[in-house]
Amino acid sequence: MEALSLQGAIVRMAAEVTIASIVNQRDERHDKSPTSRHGSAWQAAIDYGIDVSQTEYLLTLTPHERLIRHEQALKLVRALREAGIRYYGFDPRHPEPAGGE
Amino acid sequence: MGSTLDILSRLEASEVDFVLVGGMAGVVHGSSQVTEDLDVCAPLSRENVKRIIRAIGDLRPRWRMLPQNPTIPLDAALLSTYKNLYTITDMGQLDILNEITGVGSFEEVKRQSVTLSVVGMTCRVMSLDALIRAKRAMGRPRDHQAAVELEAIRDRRE
Repeated sequence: MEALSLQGAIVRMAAEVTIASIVNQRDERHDKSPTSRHGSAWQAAIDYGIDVSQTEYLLTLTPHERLIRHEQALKLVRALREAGIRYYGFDPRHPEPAGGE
Repeated sequence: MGSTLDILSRLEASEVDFVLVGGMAGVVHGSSQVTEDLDVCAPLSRENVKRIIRAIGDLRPRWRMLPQNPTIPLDAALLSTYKNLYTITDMGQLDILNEITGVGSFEEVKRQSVTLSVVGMTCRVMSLDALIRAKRAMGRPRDHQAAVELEAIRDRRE
């Protein structure tokens, strides 16, 4: 049941990534030169390596929608982390075995 | 585990005086970063701490920064002597900060906040400008990255 739940989360994430890719491609088509419309801070973010197409997509959402979307992403992060802990037998973020004293 | 939004909802329902700050405030403004902890700025007056206890007291709040995460005593008089409360609950992490570096005391943070309707509740959220100042003042690499994105968002809106 847990595996199915994780599988479902991954399928949903894959769908979301696909949608995001389509949205990003659409944005790129509409906006070949995003910096031409924005200022130096936008360019600084690009130079820093931030995926501004993702930022631009998020700005099309309402604050409520952003929080809901974040919550979904957070659930996936937690599900994947738990899968990793089951695989390794301990939390890879910490040196000691999970549940150890 | 419940959600960070559930904690937010509980704080609002218990009439805790708070402002949403940190990464979740960034999400509200459009940041793409995913954060696990809920950060709020709130005065740790005895009355407000009583409301905080009413909001999360049944979620087994524990000290997040202490080894073995001992249970937090639900004692408003005691907790009101703290400057910050770094907690882990059954619904996730909740950090309650008395002031915000780069912005100031709760009253100043509240003054530099915006009120939004979120997930069926009305919530104060630190303004984009104040959030950028706070991130810049923290100075850690992850805060720098957050500030760069938030400045781009501000740029996009101007």
